[in-house]
Amino acid sequence: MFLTLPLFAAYSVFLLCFWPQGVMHLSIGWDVSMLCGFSALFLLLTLFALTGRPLPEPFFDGRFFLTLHRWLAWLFVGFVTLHAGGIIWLDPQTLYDLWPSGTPGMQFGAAAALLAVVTPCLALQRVRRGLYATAAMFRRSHALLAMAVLGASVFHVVATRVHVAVWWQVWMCIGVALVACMLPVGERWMLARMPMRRDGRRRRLHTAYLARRLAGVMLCAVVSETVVFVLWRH
Amino acid sequence: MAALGLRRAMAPLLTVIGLAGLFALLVVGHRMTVATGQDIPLVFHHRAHGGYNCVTCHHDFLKPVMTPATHRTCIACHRETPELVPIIRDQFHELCEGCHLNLQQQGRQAGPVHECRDCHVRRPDMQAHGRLL
Repeated sequence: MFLTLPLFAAYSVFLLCFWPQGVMHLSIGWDVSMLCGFSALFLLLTLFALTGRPLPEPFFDGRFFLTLHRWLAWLFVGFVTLHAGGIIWLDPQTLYDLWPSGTPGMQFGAAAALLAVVTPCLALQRVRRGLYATAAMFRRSHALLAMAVLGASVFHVVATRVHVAVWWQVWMCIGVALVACMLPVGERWMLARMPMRRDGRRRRLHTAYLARRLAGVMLCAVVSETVVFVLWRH
Repeated sequence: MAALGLRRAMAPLLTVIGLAGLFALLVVGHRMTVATGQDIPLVFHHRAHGGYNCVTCHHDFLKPVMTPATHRTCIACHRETPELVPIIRDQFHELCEGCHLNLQQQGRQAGPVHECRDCHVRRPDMQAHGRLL
């Protein structure tokens, strides 16, 4: 469970970087909805780091990483739903932005939300087997869709300028997204060149339940940190 | 072998085409409808802004106009200028939100920032271009 601590620390840094220092005078409902959006973006970035391919640490079987990726993806979809649903419930006027004449930032946000639902649905075992002939085909298509979700989400965050408005925040957001896009390829490249330190160990099998627990811990961490953050800023 | 290669490339290719189509539809749809699209109903409390310099908003006070100022709204006037049409939303958000944010940062009382419902009030008796109160 040592993956939890770095993820928890990364989320704290993420929130502090992308949340403005000054008080925004927003209602708690708005702040919670916005934080759900930021949590969703953080989980999306996490999905680029934990792609479902086995890592050297923890030395678990592939099922652990696949289950973790799957659960984190559904958490991401859940947070996107809370973010969009919360804002529409609080401010139904935002629905005007779904018309073609609406602001591009909001339209790209809607497109990102749509793709965020479509992408994990296409990765469901039954759909995947029916649509893609080989695993490589699925992997490339899934990567393209994921990059489109990330690109549209970052454009939404930057263009709406609700919280990410200062120039260094904008560049940092773009930079983090670019690094995330290159991370899966870079990870594979590095792992292929790293000497394997097995020390006579064998990968631990039947660890899918640990992935579910880790996803649960992450959900609790994200929710509790969000609540603390909102209370602190109010 | 070539058929297999083509088959392997098909799924990513279709994904790229689908994504490009989706984003192109958004951009082209926006460009085509931004001039005629529906605006979100807007309320501007003129009296609440009485303490500020009129020129901040009424930048064209020296220009001769056919219609009396009381019958015009800011957004309707900007809509008549083709080059301003695509940036109307950004311009007005920048003007209102920017001013409110500045005041907030100075620790002074300010109007709403970001929350849509504070400015964009849904009122059936009100025209979409806004109304002065």
